[in-house]
Amino acid sequence: MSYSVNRAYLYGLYDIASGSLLRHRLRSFLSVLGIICGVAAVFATLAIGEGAKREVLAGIRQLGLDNIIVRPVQVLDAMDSVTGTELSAGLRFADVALLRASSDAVVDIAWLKELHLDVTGMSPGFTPQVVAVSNSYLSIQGLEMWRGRMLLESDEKQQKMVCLLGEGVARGLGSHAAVGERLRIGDQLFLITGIVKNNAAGKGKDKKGAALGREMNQMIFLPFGTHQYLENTDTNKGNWKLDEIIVKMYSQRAAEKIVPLIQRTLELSHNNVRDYQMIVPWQLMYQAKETQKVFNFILTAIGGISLIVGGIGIMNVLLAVIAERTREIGIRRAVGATRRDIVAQFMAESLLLTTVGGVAGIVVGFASSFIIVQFAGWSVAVSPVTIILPLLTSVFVGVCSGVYPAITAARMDPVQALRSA
Amino acid sequence: MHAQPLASLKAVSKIYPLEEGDISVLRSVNFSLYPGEFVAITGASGSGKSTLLHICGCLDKPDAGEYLLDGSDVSRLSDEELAGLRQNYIGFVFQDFNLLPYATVFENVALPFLYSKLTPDQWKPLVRGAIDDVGLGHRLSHRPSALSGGERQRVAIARAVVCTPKLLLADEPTGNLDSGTSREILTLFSRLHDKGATILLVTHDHDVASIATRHLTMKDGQLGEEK
Repeated sequence: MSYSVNRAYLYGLYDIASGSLLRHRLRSFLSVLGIICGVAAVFATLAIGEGAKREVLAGIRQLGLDNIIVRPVQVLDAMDSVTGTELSAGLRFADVALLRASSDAVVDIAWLKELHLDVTGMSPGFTPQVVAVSNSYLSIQGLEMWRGRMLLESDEKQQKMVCLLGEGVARGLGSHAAVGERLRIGDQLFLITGIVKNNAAGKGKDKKGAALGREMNQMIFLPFGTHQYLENTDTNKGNWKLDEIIVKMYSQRAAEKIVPLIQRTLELSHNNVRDYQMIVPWQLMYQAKETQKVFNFILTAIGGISLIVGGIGIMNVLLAVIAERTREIGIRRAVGATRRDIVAQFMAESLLLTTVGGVAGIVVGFASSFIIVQFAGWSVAVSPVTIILPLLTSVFVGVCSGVYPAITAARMDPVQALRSA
Repeated sequence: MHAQPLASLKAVSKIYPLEEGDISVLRSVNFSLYPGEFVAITGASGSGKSTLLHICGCLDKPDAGEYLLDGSDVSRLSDEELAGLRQNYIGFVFQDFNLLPYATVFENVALPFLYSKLTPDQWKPLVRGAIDDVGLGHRLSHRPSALSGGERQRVAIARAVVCTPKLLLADEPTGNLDSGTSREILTLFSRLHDKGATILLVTHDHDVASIATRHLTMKDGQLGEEK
């Protein structure tokens, strides 16, 4: 006899399965609960992991994958400190020229110096950071103007007493923040020529990218050099200390290649004293992705364990169902059901349980992700993978937990089954 | 008589292995059932008559001997082929009805078609017809718990004949019914026989057996003719 599966047969299976499960709503629900929790856990961890990944990557991308960032570090070791400061004076303006000349692939270079100055007229709680930057700094950082104009080369050359405000600073200053107004920084007055647009992507208050980059929104930018009117500076411009140099390369590939060369250039100019650090965004990106893989694997494994627990629950329920429906199995066999029909019937019940559980789990996962977004402020990203992976896993669990009970049912002797109570 | 028996058992034996020693339920039973016959087998409980019925119904297999159903040897068939035989050749009626408690009358009678190749459009009229024939056309969506014993057995009979089996097997069909209801059910069997059904009925009640055209007795695993 040939065995053919038609739609009516499948519908019949579904009908039996759903009927049997609906007759024991509470029991079915409890057994599905494990699957719901498992799927929701896998879904939520994937969504949160993906969200965290995107946030970190966005932060890194903001630094620029074709950039290499050099920042000074404090030499902490006491011995080193003595010799260190004698041999090397930290990150200085002279390094800019060296780095610019290090390779043809350097397309631009920018630098920044942090100033520690008071700003008059700020609302309480606002503490803007005043920085002196090269005019290339804003363009390398990809900043755009909200009002007014960028810093120009002439501002730096002619040492104009002008400034740009981050959007957050402008808010803190209120009505004094208009372009054309003057702002008192330290003991000098600066003309506000522009307000920089807030470019922080996303809604989160403290972006993880900002830990690596800078919170541009809370900054006041002065043309590099004008700070000599605000604080004591060395007469030799080359000795001016910097807090950041950004070397922009021709491409990400160029940035990947240039790392050892820049390393060597700085080693020579700093007499092998490690009073600087290099931040290489493409390396960070690579590390972040690797870390994320491990993180995702662990979280998914935890979710997977709860799915296994859920599967055991379903198997338990199916075995109970078979025990109490032994006679039904006998009746079905007597009227013409093959062993395969019986297997199919119990597999259908198992799959129905886990599929319903899977879909419900996705819904619960969505809801809990939403709650997490609302209360923890983490970002969550839902992709096809975050939906399909948990669903497939739950169907897989359904197959696995259904097989043994289904085979047990099919193996029953029909005569014995008919005689059972 | 007819040349070709519908069912024929040749030296069929069945042994139930128990720890206290094996029990021979059937000892070399020879038996032939011809198309259109209504045979009753009586015997005390434990005499092996139910086992004989199960073997005839392809639910059980003999340990020795051979069982030919419509000329083919059943013991050589696979599980799927046996299931096919049960569906197309055989209808069962049991003492305790064996209806699915949660299914309606209609669903119970339709049960064999779940495993057939017919489409619902094809089998739905057959199911209705079978239920009408046993006089329960007005009870289609009732559940067995809402029916009397006699009505339940009618549903079971409808289920047994809905696929127009060649062989109708009944195991103590009146065992759980009062005498009045038993009469009705037996009349129903007689009517089916008149329409041409081949029936094998097993009972311990000689009155019940009297409606059959042939009467055999089972004793200690062996079959004897009674007249």
